Amino acid sequence: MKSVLIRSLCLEIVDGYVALDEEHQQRNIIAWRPTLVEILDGFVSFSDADVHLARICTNILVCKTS
Amino acid sequence: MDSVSADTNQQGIRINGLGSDDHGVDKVATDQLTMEENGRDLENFRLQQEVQPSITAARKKEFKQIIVKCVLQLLMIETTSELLASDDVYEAMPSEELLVIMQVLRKSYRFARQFNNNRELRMNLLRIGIYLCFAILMLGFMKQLPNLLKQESSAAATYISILLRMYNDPREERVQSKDNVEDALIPYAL
Repeated sequence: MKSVLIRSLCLEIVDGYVALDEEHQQRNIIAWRPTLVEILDGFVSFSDADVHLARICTNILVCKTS
Repeated sequence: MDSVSADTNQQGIRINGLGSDDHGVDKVATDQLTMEENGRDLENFRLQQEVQPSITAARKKEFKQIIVKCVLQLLMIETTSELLASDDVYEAMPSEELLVIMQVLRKSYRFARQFNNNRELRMNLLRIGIYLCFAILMLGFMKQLPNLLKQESSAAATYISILLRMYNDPREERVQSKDNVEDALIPYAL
């Protein structure tokens, strides 16, 4: 349960980060970068890390190609 | 209200004129009133043309206090993060205490997020803030939309890193506290 909560918060943040506009929201990107590193580091420690990383990659692809 | 302050002002002038030390408190009060009066003059001078948010001395003071609180909030988050990055501190701290800190961090994150997402509120603050900055001579302070971006991101980073660390901590006490962690976190569930 606990890990589910952490994960949903992390994924929310990752999604928010991915949705940031590269040209106009540089400040936001810089502010969130350390948080993202923390999250990705944490995800790698989960036993099902590949599932989450795959989801994040899919999100990035969907967001950046749409 | 105006007649009262006028009376006090006259008294202030009298006291200043006599140079009396017996009315120290009165003098301080008068000084404050004089400041307020100046502020009002400034306000009249500047804000007559456009929409005028009422800027009183109390408002200016409150504005300055809020700025200080914002900075302090950031410093506290940073301090927490740095303290708990130390293995000694982290290991010495009981899980319950850690969870209390976690809740506070989460609250700080949620608050900042809510603020940052409320564009209308931020636009209004910017509008009033420009006047206030002029009034308290902090020119150039309020150049852009006010935001709590740093608070949002650093609170989240600290929160996540500590929770993940607790989650992956194999020590007995942390494992035992897992249920409590859940209880503590569920009211704040997304």
